[in-house]
Amino acid sequence: MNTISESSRARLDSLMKIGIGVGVLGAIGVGLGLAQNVEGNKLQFLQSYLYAYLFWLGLSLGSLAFAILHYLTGGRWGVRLERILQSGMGTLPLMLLLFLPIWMNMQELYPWSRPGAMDSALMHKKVFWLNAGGWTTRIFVYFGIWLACAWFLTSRAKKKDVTGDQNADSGVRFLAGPMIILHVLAVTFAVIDWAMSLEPEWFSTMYGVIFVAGQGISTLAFAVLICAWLRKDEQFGKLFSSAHFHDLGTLMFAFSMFWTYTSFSQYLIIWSGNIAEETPWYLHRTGHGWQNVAIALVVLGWFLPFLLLMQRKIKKQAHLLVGVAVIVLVARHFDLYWQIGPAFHHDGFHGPHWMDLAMPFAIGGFWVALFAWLMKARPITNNQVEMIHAEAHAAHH
Amino acid sequence: MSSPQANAAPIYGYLAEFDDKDALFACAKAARARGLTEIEAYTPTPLHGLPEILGYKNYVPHMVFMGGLIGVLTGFGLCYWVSVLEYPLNIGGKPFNSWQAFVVPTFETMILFASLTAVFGMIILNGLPQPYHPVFNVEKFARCSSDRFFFIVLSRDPKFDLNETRRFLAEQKALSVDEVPH
Repeated sequence: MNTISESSRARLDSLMKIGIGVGVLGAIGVGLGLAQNVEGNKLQFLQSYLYAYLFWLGLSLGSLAFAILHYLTGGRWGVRLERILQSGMGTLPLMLLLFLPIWMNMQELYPWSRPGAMDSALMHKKVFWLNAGGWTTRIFVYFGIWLACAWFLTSRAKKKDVTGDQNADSGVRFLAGPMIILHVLAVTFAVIDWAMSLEPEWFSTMYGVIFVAGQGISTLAFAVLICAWLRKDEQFGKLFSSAHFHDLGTLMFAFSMFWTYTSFSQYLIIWSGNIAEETPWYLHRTGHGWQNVAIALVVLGWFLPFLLLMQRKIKKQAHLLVGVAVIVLVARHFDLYWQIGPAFHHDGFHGPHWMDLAMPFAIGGFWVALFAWLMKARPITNNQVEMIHAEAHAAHH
Repeated sequence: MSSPQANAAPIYGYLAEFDDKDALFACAKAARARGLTEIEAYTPTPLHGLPEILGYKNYVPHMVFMGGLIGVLTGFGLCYWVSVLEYPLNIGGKPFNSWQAFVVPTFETMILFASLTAVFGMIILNGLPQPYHPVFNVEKFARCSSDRFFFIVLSRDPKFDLNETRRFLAEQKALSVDEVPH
C-alpha cells in the first residue's frame, strides 16, 4: 500500500475544505469583533491571538516532540502516528508566519519592551535577556531549531518511503537524543519569552515543562481525533485497532498526570514559599472571578481525564476516547487562557471576549487545512507499517 | 488422592494438552460454544484475548479503585486530624487546614493503598496460597511452564459428562486428553 487510496484522499480533501471554511468564518468573526472598535479592541485582539496561537503552535511542537520521542523509545503507539506527526510538524512554517502579529505588536503585549519599564533595580538585572533585539533574534533561533529538526525527520522518512531502504532514517535515530534535549530547551525558553514575560517581574523554573506537558497531551488528543476519523475509512479500519486507541489513551493518561503534577508542583512551591515576588501571579489567577476558570481547569484538565482514562473500556473504544480527547483539547484552551488572560486583567475576569472564542477557529481552521494538505501528499502507511501490523495481528490472534 | 468434600464426579476434570496456542484458542472457543462454563487454561506465557474467551472476569481494577479511594480518605483524614484537630501548629501563618500541603501525602497514600490492594487482591482472587491443586496429579502438566498449553474442563460444570466431554476434547487438536484425579 504505497499510494494513498481514493477514499482517504477524498476524506482529507473534505477535511481541508472544512478547515479553510472554519478558518475564514473564524477570521470574519474576529474581524467583526475588531471592527466594532479598532483602537479599543486592539489589545484584546492581541491577547486572544496570543493564546490561540500558543494552542495551535503547541500541536505543531507536540507533533515534533512525539516524532523524535518515537525514534528514542520505539513502540507500537508511534508507528501508526508517523504521518500524523509529520504532517503536524509540517505546519511550523505557517506558525512562523503567524508569529508576525505578535512580533509587530511587541510593545502592546510585553511590558518589558516599553520605554522605562526596566528602570527598577530588580528589572534592570533582567535586561540582558528581556530586550527587543535579543527577543527578536531568539524567535529565529527557536524556529530554526524546530524547523531543522522537522525537516530532518520528514526528509529521511520520505527517503525511506521512496527507496524502501529501512535504514534511510538511521541518522535520525542517532541524533534523536540531542534533538529532544534541544527541542525541550527551545520550548522552555520560547514560552518564557512569549508567555511568562507578560508579567516580567514573575518567574518560575517549572513554567516550561508545564507547557511541554500541555503540548504533549493536546497533541495526543488531536491524534486520537484524526485516527478515529481515518478509521471510518475501510482501508484503515483494521490499522487503527482498539489496541492502538488503548495505547493512545494510556499515553494521554500519563501526560494528563504529568501536566497535573507539574502545574500543581509550581503552585505548591510558590504557596509554601509565600514570598512577594512570586505569589501575585497566583493571587491574580485565583481571585476576582479567575478562580472560576481555575476550578474549571482542574475539573477538565485533571479530574475528568484522570477518572475516565483510568477505565480500560473507555481507552479501547474509539468513540468514547474521542469524547475524552475533546475534553482534553477544551482543557488546554482553559489552561492557556488562564495563564495568559490574567496578565492583562488584574482587575478580574468578566467573561470571555467574543474574539477569545473566534480566534482558536480562525487560526485552527488554516492549521487543520494545511495539516490535511500535508497528509494527502503522502501515503498514510508504508510497507513496513503494514508488515508490523500483520505481525501484531498474528500475535493477537 | 481424596477430595476434602464429597463430589458426585469421580474425577476433577479432563485435561487437554496442546503444543500450539492457536489450537488452544480454537478449543476454548468450541468449549464456550458448547455452553461449558467451568473451564480453565494454563499457558507458559500470557495470551491476549484468552481470558475473554474463557469468560473470565477480572475484579482487580475495581478493588484497586476502591483501595485508592480509601487511601485518599485515609491520607487526607490523617493530615486533617493531626494538623487541625489533634496538634495544630502555626506554620508560617498558614491556616491549620492547608489542603495544598495535604495533597502530596494524600496522593502518596492513594498510591500505597492502591498498589497494596492490587498485589493482595491479585493473590486472594487467584486463590493463593494453595499448597495442593489436582492438575499436578497429571505428570506432563509440568511442561506447562515451558512449552505446552493446557485446557481443562472441570467436572463441576453442569454440562460435564464423562464420555461426552472426553469425546469433545479428543476432537480438538490436542496431543493428549487425560483424566485429572481429585
